[in-house]
Amino acid sequence: MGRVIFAELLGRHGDVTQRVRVERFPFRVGRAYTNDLVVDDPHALAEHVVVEEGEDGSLTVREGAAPGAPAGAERRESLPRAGEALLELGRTHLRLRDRDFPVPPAAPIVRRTAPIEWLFGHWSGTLTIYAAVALVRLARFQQDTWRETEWVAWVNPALWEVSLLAIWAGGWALLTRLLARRPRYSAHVAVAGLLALLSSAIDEGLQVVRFAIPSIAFAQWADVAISGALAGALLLGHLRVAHAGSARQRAFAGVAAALLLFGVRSLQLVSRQPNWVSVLPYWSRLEPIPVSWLPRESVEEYFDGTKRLEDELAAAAEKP
Amino acid sequence: MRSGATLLAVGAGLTLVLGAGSARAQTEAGSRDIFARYAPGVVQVQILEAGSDSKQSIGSGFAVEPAGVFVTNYHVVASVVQHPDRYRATLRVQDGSTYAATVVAFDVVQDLALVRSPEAPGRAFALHGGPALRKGERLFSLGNPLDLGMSVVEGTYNGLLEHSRYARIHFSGSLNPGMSGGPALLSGGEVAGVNVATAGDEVSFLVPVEHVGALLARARERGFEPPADLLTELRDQLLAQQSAYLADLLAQPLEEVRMGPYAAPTRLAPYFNCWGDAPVDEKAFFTQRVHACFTDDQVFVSEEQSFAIVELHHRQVTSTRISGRRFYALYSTLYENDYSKRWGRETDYTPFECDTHFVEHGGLTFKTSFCARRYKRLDGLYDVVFKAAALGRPSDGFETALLLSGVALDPARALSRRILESIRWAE
Repeated sequence: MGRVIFAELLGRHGDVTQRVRVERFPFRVGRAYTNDLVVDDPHALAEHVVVEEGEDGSLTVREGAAPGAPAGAERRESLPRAGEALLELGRTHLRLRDRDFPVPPAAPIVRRTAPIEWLFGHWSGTLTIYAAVALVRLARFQQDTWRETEWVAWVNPALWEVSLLAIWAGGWALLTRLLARRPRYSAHVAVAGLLALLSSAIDEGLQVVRFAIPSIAFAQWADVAISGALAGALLLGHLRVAHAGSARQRAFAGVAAALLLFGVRSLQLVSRQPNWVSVLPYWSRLEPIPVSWLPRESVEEYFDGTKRLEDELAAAAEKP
Repeated sequence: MRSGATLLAVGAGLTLVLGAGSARAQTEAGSRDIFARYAPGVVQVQILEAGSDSKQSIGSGFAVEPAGVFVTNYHVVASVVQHPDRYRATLRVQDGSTYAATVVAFDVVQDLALVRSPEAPGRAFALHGGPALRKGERLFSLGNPLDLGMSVVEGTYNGLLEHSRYARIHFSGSLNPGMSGGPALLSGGEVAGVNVATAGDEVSFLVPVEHVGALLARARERGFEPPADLLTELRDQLLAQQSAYLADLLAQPLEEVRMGPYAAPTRLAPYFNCWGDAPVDEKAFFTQRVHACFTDDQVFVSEEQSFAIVELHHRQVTSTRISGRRFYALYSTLYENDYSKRWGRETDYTPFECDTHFVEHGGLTFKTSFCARRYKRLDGLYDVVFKAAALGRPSDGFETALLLSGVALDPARALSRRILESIRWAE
């Protein structure tokens, strides 16, 4: 029996979209219907690749010159036993592999963590995300409500937040449909919803930190840094779901978004400060944590410490 | 001049038009006679924008000995004191002629000023130096309300204000903007006071005439020459005033008010007026009790700045149906209120700086913030806000706020400390 190879057309992400077993040579690949394997690529030549078998059984791959290439630009290469060749036919990727091409050992089946799969790919997971976002919003509303309130006032903010999430995820799903042919709506809801929940959790945690570290500058810069990080993570998550770009490109986009937001908010923070002549920059948050946990001072120590304000204000008065 | 009171200078930005006078019967002969004899001696003080000679504000004034010296209010000439490069003062006499005038002395605390215009004609008014006035005595106020022309307003002397550190005559008569600095005369023609402010509805205020005498004496010592630098003079007066004011407050024995389970200082001095309430909201999940102390005093410095504001606020809040983080979210929101309609321009003030810590005193732990901003053009003066909130109880809170304007930092710190140390658990 002569040489047997496999010709494989590869998709955008390297997946095999068509595989042909080749036993007879010459084997032709191109756009014309006279070929053994026809590719639908307007940039491929009518007869783009020919695989020929020599008398000694060796295989030679002859590749036609691309349109516009100088005369004599054709390429030839041999396909060794157990070897492979990768070719570009216009924008189509063709892989030729010898029958004896070694394959790696069977990979064990790695089951994805069930809850993640459920959240990112199942409608019930999506509904759970919506419910969680609505519940957290309700809880936050409840925390800030100190009078008897009509039920409509409770429902409105939760509905608004869920609607916003649905629209946001819908936009990303549309984009993903264009890029990867599958909208992956549930996954986008999961990305945005989980980050919204994380943001709420961080905000609640930060309230306690802001209380314990009563520095307005710390609070402001922590807000700026965290909002930047969350924005970067949000973009990264959506791009990953959309299969847009390589992992490196996605990471770059996420970091760029985080830095951009950080930069814009930092500028706002710095440029607004001189106008705060009427604003008291103290952190008014109070928390019900045990007072024995707090770093406390005596009255005398405290008022001695306030003397530093004199120097700071003198320096501020010098500024134009 | 004081809470609810409107100063009587007419400024470019002043839009408040007070109600017309009542139909109160007047002693026509008395008013007519006073007007005929003394109105010609009252001048209109005009503050002109130096570049265009447009009127920026107007007030009234009257001549005193020696010749060429006129009394008016500080707030009438405040623009000239603060921005002598941008504004100048002139006097317009009865025949319509105007004369350039120079500010030679002022008392920002009593809201009085002396301007000098050697060429301006004016018969000197006699200052009342006799026995103290009695409530019910007739007074005749002269001035130029709303730039409508010289007018006389008849009213009644109703004693001195009680809730004021600085003596002010309560004049029951309808003063209007533009009459600032005009004389209020006894029926014999002696000046009993100087028009200064109104609260509307015939509640008006005069500066007692003895302060005019004191200012004249100071100016006389300097030969009626203006201070070398008006702004420095203003700063020195304010520093001296606030220093005496806060020293007085620190020397007063503190009274105490009970706010639920807490006891806190109240009425910082006899001239403070304190109010309290426990508003009921049946739908609310909490109850609160509020208490506030302040005086009727404010020292007018400019349209944007008033000094000598000392306010003390307390609030005690108790939850009826919520606790823990939910109660503290409410407590935080209440604590956020700084009780002040503060304003300012960055040309006048630095931004506020705050020092926030947890302070333990008398078995209570407080979150305290001592905040201050510095006046850029009046060196050594600050606005201060001191806030403290008691911590550690799941459904009960107490917070206090002390507001001070135009003070030095050390006495402000001392007063804040005194307030904090006076708060105690009373149960």
